[in-house]
Amino acid sequence: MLSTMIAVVIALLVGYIWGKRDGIVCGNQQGAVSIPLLLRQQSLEKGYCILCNKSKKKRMLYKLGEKRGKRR
Amino acid sequence: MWPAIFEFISITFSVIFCAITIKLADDFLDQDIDTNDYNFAKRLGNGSMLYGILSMVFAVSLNASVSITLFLGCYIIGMFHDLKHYFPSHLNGLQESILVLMIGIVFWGWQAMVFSLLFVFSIQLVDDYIDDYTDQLVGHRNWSHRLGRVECILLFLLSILAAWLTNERLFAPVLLGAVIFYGTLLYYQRGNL
Repeated sequence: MLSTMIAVVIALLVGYIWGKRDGIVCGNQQGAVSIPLLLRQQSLEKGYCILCNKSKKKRMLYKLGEKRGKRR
Repeated sequence: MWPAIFEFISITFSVIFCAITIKLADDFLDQDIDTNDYNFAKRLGNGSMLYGILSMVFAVSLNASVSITLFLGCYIIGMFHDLKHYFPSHLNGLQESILVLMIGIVFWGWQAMVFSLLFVFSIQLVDDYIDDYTDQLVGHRNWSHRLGRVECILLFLLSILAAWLTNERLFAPVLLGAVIFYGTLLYYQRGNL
């Protein structure tokens, strides 16, 4: 009886630790894949980059300025 | 019948006296860290260690093998937080733990030592589970933070069942003594006593 209970608790513990570890790895992978897409989607919807707060127009002008600077 | 009942009661009281010793020793060591008013060493002053020794004498008088192995078990489990820390004996926590375990096995046998270690470890786990939030506020990292709350409670179940399997005769009186002491302590710490 006691040995069976110990075996059940060991199975529960191992299963819980395994599941938790697997969940963390899986969640990290899903996050790494979906976060860039979410950032891009929200930036396009709002019209400015939600990370650096620059509008698309300003960013294009900034890039053009950079190119002109290089030519000089 | 009567000798069996007397043995049960003597083991229970031996555990209670041993728990008082361990509590006083722990409070004495932590009196600079503890910020709450429930530290017995602060209330009793320097006499707390003497009361602790007196309580241990009562515990040993009632049942030597149970009380001494439980005390050694507490000493070993208490060292788990300072395994790499060097003590005045010039040994680190791990070396002292192994030395105490070997001395305990030589004097009291492996069964009594394994029982005590598993039992004390289970009490430590359930205590850390209960103190999870307060220890987090103080900044003390306990087993519940290291392992996780669910793992902590499952490991508690596992260790207490393993202790039961190791020594079925001692388990009931030792558990009763631990529950009486811990229940009274919790009742006191919540301001009811």
